[in-house]
Amino acid sequence: MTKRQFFLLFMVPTFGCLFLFAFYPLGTAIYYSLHDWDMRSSAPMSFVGLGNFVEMFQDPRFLNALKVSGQFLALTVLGSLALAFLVAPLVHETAKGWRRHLAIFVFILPAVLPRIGAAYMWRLMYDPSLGIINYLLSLVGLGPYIFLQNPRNALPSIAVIDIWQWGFLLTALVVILLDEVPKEVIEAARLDGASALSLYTRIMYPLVLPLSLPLVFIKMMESLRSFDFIFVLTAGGPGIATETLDMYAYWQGMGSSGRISYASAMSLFMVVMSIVLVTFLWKALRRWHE
Amino acid sequence: MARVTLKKVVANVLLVAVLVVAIAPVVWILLSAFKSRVDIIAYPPKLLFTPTLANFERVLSIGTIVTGVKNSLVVVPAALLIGFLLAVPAAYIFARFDFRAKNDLRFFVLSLRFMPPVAAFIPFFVVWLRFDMLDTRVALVATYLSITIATMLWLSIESFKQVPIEVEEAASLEGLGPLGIFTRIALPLALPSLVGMAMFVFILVWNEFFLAFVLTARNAVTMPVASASFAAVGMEVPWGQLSASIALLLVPPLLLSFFFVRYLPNIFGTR
Repeated sequence: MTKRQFFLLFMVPTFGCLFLFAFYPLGTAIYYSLHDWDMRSSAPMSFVGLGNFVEMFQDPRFLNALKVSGQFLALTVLGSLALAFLVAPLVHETAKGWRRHLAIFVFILPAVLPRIGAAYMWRLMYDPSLGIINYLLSLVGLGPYIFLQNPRNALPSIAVIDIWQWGFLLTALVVILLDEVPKEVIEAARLDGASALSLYTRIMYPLVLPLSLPLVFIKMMESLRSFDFIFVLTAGGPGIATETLDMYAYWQGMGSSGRISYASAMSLFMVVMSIVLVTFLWKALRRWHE
Repeated sequence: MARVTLKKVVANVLLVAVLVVAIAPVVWILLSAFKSRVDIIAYPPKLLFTPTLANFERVLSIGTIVTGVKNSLVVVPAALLIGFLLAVPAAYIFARFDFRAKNDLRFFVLSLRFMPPVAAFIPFFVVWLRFDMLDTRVALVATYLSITIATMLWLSIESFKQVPIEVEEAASLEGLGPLGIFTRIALPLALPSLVGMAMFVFILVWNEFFLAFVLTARNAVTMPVASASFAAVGMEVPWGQLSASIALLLVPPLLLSFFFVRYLPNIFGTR
């Protein structure tokens, strides 16, 4: 077999499938988004040009979903990073050997759990009457709070669950990264009399941050898929206080209204957002590999 | 000296507290799965109680849950196996060959890997509707292939790069062709890391909810969809049974994570 045949044998079936999976849905979504099609009505599909996109940016409920998704993204990305960079030094300094391995294992557990499972766990704990969180707060004289049924608290309460999953995963990864900082660098800084705080802020974090940049973009893209949480915990409510882009697109396309074409326009908007984020991730990864 | 020890004690206590926060929700739902109805609604919440298997017995007698377990055990391995066969050879090409469109194709694979499911759910729904294949396992496996091929392809490239290239060059000098080098040298050497990668993707697909929720109704529901069918928002929740079904859902990810934790830096591109 020549190298060329080998190359084609290994690449053509795979990319045949991938192109089909990527461009067929993309093509159909573009086609639908330029038409008006309502599954609940028998009216034929009619061409409306960019009408769906114009409507989208005048639809207060879409703009609300955009805002909610943005808030969720900001809360969860910043929260996860803060948690990771606060807890990782604690692990790095305190746990060595097998205890560090155990800590890393415990920290990745929340992230490997299905988001549906995580959502139900927290819904049980957030329950206003039986929930353990309100019970624990009452022990220190706080509460009771309404977490998910209060429009003001609902989104932050959901973000906490995401931070619990992703913040601890990032913690585990930052611990692994801190391990790779050369021992001589740390020793030299210690000999120069650097305090523990300045060791981290001046030396460890600047070394580790560029390496964790890809993780930040991965987390941002992950925050765009909030459907599982929102669906289980609030279904977008109360009102539309926690209705994210994917929840609203689902609602328009599959939920009560069945407006396939309008939902397709929203899907395409999400595709563009993801591609922008993937471009940043791509650049970060390439810089890192050079 | 005493101050140093005090610092150590405080640090250790803090670390244990953080670990407890990380694991408490999992423990809590597992405990709830073994609680009787009375113990679940007890206030203050009970840590000590007489465990019962009643919730599991009840849950395993519910048709939807049994269907969900069966479907997940068929759909996830199928999507994983076909994905592996298609993704791993292409990943080897990316690790070892140079060609013109390499960077464009890598960007394309990365975009597919991170595309949110909401971006594709409508076209998939309409296609399966047209072929009259909504709510079938075949449609779900085919849909999941878009996730498994892209993710496994991306992650396997690194596994092959870690195989020492000298070994492959030596085999080539001894007259082994490219296919022989792949099957006899590169694949066996990369296999442990490929298996770790496959476990991660198994968890990813096992946990997938949105696409399964949109594309199935009764016959092809997977375990996450079946568990979620217990309790719609705003309804009275049968917490004991729900916890038991979540506990069943958690078993594969918990078991597999023991094995793939070593490959974590590979998976998140930090090595």
